[in-house]
Amino acid sequence: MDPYSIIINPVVTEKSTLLQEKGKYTFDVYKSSSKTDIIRAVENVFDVKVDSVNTFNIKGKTRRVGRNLAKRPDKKRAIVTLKSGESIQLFEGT
Amino acid sequence: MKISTEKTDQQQINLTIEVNDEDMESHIQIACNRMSKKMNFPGFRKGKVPRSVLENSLGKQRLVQESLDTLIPEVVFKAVDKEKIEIVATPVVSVESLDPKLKILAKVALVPIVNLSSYEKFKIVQSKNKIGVKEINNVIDQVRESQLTWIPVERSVKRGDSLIIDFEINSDEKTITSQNKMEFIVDYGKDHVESIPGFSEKLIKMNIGDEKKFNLKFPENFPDEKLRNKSGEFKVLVHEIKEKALPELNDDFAKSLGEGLESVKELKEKVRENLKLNAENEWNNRIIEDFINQVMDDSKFVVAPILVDQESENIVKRQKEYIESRKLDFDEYLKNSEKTYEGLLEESREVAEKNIFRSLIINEISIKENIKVEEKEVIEEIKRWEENNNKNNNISKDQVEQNIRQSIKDRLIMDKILKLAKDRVVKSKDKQKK
Repeated sequence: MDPYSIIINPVVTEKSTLLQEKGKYTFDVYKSSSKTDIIRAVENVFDVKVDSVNTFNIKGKTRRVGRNLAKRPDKKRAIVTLKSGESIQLFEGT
Repeated sequence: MKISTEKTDQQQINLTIEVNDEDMESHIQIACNRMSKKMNFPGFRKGKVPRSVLENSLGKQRLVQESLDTLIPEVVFKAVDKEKIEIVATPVVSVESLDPKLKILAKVALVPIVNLSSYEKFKIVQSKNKIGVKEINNVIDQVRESQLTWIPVERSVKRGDSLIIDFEINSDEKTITSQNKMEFIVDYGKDHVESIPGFSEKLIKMNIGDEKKFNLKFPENFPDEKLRNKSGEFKVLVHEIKEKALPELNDDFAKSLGEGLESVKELKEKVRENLKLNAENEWNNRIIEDFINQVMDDSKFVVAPILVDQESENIVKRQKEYIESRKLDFDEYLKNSEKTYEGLLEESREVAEKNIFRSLIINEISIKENIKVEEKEVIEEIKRWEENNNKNNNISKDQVEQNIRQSIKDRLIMDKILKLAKDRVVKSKDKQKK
């Protein structure tokens, strides 16, 4: 699969910037991608070596729209640990 | 930090300061902290945005700009210290460039040079205002005028009377205005401007109950444009005639004024005293002004232009405050008087210069005449102040002491200058009578 459609966007939050100091980078990723997909994609896009990946699913929140209930989309987030010495320059804010 | 200086010939130094990254570092950190508290950054709580994120999303230049507030004063004062310059007033600072290195241009004013003229040879020609019977009577008449009453009389109208009239004005067979039972004071002549010339004169010699019709021309400057230079028909009916009655000048009148006066003689004496005091004060002020003006004309000053700028800014600011204190809009005022802010500044430059010269002169004289404040006097004054203000003591004592010392010093200086000036008063041959 195309690596650019696996990685959706980097996550810039307080927690994720703290993790960056330990060489862990956080991304929102395509919902049904596997850990191996993510490793391949990150290595390909940023030209780095990946040590390991942890992933988790985030359920979209339900919101009321008038009298109906609406659901925000679910997403998958991946925390990628790079091999020591490697780093990624993340420029965009969310 | 690289500093280059350029001295102008007017007691002013232009400093160009190039700031190193290391010097900026701590200030940028402060700016970051401030911004992260102020800005809303998604994904972060307020005050918790790390610097790297700020730098990435806003750019370094923006951070530098934000840090200028704290950075400039420190850098400029460091530079002034390093160059060993003694300065007065706040430096005027402008930023030359931000990138790649921060460059600051600071204009600093040096202590002005004053070349005080020796005032030994000055002559002051000012004489006191004379107080005679005429002046005293004038004042008393004014007091009586302020307490006048109107008394109804049964006779024909004279000049100075107050009438109650009905009147109607017609022009071109249309009624322009008609009013009932209006109060009208009959007066004409040089000192009195009538809205319709000749109206008062027509009323003279009318009696109560009389009705009169007459024609008059509206003046050129009449408020209603359509009526200007047209003639109108006036109809007047007199209801009442009242005469002006001044309180009689007798002992009772003196008593009614209060202030412990018993007789006309005492009243006159009191008025004379007041007038004398006024004349004395006024004379003192005049000779001081004259003295200072002479010193000013004869002395040489070198004052940095930025000092004058700052003073004229102050003047305009005071003007603005005055206007706003009267609930007027400053911009509106500028528009109405067809002035610009810059124009006002330019106008007040001359005054500003004079103000500065004046304070310089006073300062110089105090040095030359060796005026010192007695410590005892200061302590006494502070005691008096404490007695009066024992309740609200939120002003620090040091500040009060400083203020008191300054005011005592000012007073001593003015006394001294008055003495210097008085020594130089010459009786003029042609006494100015007032």
